[in-house]
Amino acid sequence: MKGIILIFLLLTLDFAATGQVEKLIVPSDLKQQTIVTEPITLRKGYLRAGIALSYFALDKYFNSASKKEYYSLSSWHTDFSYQISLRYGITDKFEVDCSIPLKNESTRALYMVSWPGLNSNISLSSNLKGKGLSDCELTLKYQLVPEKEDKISLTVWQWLTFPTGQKNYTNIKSFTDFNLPVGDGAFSTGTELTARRIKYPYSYSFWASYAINFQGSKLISQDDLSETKFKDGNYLMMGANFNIHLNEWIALANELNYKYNQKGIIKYTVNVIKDPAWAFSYQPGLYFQIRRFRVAEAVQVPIMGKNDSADPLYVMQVFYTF
Amino acid sequence: MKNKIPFLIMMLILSSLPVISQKSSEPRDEFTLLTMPYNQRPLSLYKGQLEVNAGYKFAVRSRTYDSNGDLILLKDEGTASVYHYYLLELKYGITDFLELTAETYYSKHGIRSVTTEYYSLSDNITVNTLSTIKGMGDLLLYGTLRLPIDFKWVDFGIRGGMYLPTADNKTSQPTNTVTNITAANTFTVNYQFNEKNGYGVPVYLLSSDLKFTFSKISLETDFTFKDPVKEGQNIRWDQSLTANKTFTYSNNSYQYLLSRSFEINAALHFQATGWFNIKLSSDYMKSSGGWTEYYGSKYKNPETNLFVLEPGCEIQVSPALTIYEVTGFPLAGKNMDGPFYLFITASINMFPFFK
Repeated sequence: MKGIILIFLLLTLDFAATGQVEKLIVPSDLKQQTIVTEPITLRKGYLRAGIALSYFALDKYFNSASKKEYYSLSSWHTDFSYQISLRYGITDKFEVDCSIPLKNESTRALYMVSWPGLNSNISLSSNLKGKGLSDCELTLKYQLVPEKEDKISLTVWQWLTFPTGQKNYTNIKSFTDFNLPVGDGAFSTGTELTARRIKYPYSYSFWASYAINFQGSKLISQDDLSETKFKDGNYLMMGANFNIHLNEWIALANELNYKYNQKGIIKYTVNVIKDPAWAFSYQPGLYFQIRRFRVAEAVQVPIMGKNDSADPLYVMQVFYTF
Repeated sequence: MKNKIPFLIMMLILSSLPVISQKSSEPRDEFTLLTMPYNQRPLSLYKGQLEVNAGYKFAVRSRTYDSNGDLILLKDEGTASVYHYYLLELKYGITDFLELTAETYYSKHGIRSVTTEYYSLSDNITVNTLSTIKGMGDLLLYGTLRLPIDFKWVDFGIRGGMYLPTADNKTSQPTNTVTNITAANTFTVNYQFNEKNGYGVPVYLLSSDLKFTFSKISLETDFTFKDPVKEGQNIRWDQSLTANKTFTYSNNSYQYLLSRSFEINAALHFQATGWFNIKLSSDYMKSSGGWTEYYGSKYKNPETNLFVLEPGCEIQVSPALTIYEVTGFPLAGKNMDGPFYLFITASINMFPFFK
């Protein structure tokens, strides 16, 4: 009888052996981690390259009374731009990013002038375009409190924007025929602090940043004969995001963010003040992690604001981790 | 003892064989039904299945087609605009062959006209015109009945239902303003007309749907017909500018009869994997008939048609969640706007009353 029990036990032992699977983490798996599970900075030696397409059209804005209004003039402005992005992990805690934006915007307008008494009408139309390299950005990220399982990490970001884009109106032939500028015309820099925690299948973070815009000079209007000094307002941003795995390779990202732009100044003979502006937005997004490819689509929807655009911004991104 | 050992080993092996080799030809468990790929899915929900669809369509109205079918680029006139459409749909499978659906939407859209500046010897008046269309749409209730057979490679279904005039479609009072008053006769008039969604009358809907599947490729085509039950009534606003640059308003009611419309859709689907289906569909819509009253006289509604190409995909994220994405490219039309659009829908499926 003992022999039978022994044989039975030996036969059942293999069930445990076949049922147990240990998942081995290898470097190629780490490159396939999602926005929820991967660390906030790239691991040492990892390179991530990608392109982002963004689109928005000027249709509505928040006025000075924080009320959402349609633009009333017959003018249509769209911005369909690309951004090439390169990220590299210098160490497991230190990353450097470079982004190269390529702008593609256009403004079209039609304006009718009518003299009913003379039975005469004139139409004025314009099709203005701005295409080319915009202002490039270099960002350094460092994990002050490194990411550990189930613990809060703290990361500092420092970025610098270079005025590499054409800042002035060019090819001016008439007041309805010229090229739009594609750069801001001034350096800017900013710092961000991000606190993040991963609690699978979720990750959440809180962040705040402050950016300083330096003084520059450019043609403020296409009619100007010479460049004028200006300084855009510094801005404060803060937000919180919550990411969740919908399955092993698709994550839903949610972010609420607030941006406050301080007043800017244009130094004409008499200074012109650009009013402060703010916006509170919600940004949902879907992130598909297909092996080392990451495809993302997101939309930023302004919910409340003042003196700011009220139009959604659509972004589609494709990344690959080498 | 020795005789018992081979017997025991054989019993253990034999007892495990049925478990290993048996495969159900038609699994009916909840998980299997919820993850059924498009090419194996019938035209209606399974018995007890509840589907909740929430969708958002972002459309750019940058082109329109005139009465001759010629394309007009609205962006060249500066009058292109953005259209936001939010869909909510509930479906329930009463049986494997009968499904009930309730559907409604909310949308908002602002249409600008060309800014015009009027000059005379004494006046200089700039006029901006904006028409907004905003609000909840009507509630659509319909049932779907499909062939009472298990879906293998062909399926056929019919739908019937009605748009109930639940939306308040009465046009609101305009909110015109006068701005930039630099002199008594130099100012800007901003006309803003505020319209709402909804048909205002019940509209019935009849539809048929046919689906073929050949391995990973499926072909689905449907025909939909809509017709109003009766004439409707709405109000039209008139406005007068007073000397102190404000507006007074009055309204008159008018009658209308909606056009009847039909729509044909044909879609080719490819089931790339179990969780990913891509499609290319074409949609043709035409409306005719109906009239609108203007100051006592009835004028025939213009005939409209639109042909749209719609590539799209379906992603099964989890048994409960599926995401649908469709992009629309208008190719031809008549008396219709032809917006480019992106439509994303999250679909949640469950069997809430069955275990």
